[in-house]
Amino acid sequence: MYRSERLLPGAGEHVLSVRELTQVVKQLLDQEPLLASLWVQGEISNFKHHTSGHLYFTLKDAYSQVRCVMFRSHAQRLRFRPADGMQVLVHGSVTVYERDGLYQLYCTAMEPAGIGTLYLQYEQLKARLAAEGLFDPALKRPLPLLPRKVGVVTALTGAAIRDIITVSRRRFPGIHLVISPALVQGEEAPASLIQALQRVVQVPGVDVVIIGRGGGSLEDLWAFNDEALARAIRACPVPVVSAVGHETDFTIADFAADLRAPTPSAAAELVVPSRAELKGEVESLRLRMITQMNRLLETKRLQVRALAQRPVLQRPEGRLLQDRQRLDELVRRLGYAAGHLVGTRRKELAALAGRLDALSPLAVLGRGYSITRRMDGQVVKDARQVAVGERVSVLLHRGRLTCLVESREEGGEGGNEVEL
Amino acid sequence: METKLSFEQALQRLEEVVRELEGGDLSLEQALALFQEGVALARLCEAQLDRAEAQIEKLLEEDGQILTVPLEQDTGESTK
Repeated sequence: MYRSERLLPGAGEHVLSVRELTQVVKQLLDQEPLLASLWVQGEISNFKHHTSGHLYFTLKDAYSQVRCVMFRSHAQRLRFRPADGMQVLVHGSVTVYERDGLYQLYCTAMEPAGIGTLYLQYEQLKARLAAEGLFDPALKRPLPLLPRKVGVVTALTGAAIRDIITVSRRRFPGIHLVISPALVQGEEAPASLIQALQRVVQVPGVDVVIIGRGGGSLEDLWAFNDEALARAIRACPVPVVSAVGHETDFTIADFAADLRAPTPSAAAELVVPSRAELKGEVESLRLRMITQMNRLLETKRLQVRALAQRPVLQRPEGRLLQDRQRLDELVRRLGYAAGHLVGTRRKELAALAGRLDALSPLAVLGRGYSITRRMDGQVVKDARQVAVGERVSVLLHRGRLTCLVESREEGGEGGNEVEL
Repeated sequence: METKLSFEQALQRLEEVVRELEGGDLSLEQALALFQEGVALARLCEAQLDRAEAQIEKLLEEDGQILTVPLEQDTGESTK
């Protein structure tokens, strides 16, 4: 039924402007603590990524929908790309957008739903363990350069174990791996991983452990976000390398481990050294050592040679030479002395012999005298010993004569020539 | 000599030995002693690199006992 009479405000009734109305509603909403900070889950529709960087979309479920906005500063921190149809969990506050008279959800964080609640747990656990110091970089231990045995905690089947074996063998053919099988997904996985980890480090010689699994969805990796597992990793007596097959997402296990590898293959690369490289290193050290030793020996040799040429060390040999020289000289002098002695004696002898000569009658003959003897051998000293016409023998210095006495003169001594 | 040294310790000591040989004003006796030590260390390192045991084992629980058994037999199934 239609009424034509005009409905006017009563005397006490106040007329609001649109703006006033909106402000009233806004005030009401802003007073509600629940709306100041809340989580809402829903499906994204009408998603628009504005050139300004802000995100505009609608969240809806089967019954309702709500306008949402996420400003650039928050949108930049998203770890995924929202899209229409995606179930998400958003955090934010609700207030009125006055221009349009719309209440809107102002989002500060958004995660894909499904893991949304898990994600919250994850963030909370991470914050708690970090505050406790479990992820302290100072706790991270270095890996052994050449592990004696590598413990591997993972599923016995699948790409992870295969990749680890392949890479390990390639890098170091003689490597010793000890696989400790564990469940790597599902509710029982954390307990299984912890048990496998605790078992493998009891094997003598295991000095590093790889714990991980191959890639999978975020839900698949969830076992590695377990608090007890994180503590078990931290409590492990040898260094632990986490290898949860996901390049971008870090698990709690990754934070707790001594080293995080993005994939099982990468973990094997980090843990197992290249045998060829190590051999090269040892070889080059050996070469340096030998080179240096040779150099050093050469230096010492030269030093010895230089020292040997100094007169101080030459003395023993020098003295020997001097002694020999002296000996030679002595011998020479002895020989000379001996010769001299003999010569002297010889001269003396000659002198004596000369004196003997002088006494010899024969020597008188040498001076021109001669001895005259009768043929019977009697030496003639007086002319009266011979008769004229007698033959005498005259002995000269050299040779003898037989002479005939022609005449004789008796008289004094000497001076008278004999006439032949 | 010190067979208890790990590869890492041996390599580290070998590096020290080489540095000492290269840097120091050493007597021949000192140098020879270092050299001998270095040769032994290099040998030790190489022995560890040349080890050929190449084992891949897995842990098994049997009647509450943990055993290690070679993995070789069943990798065939799991890797193909």
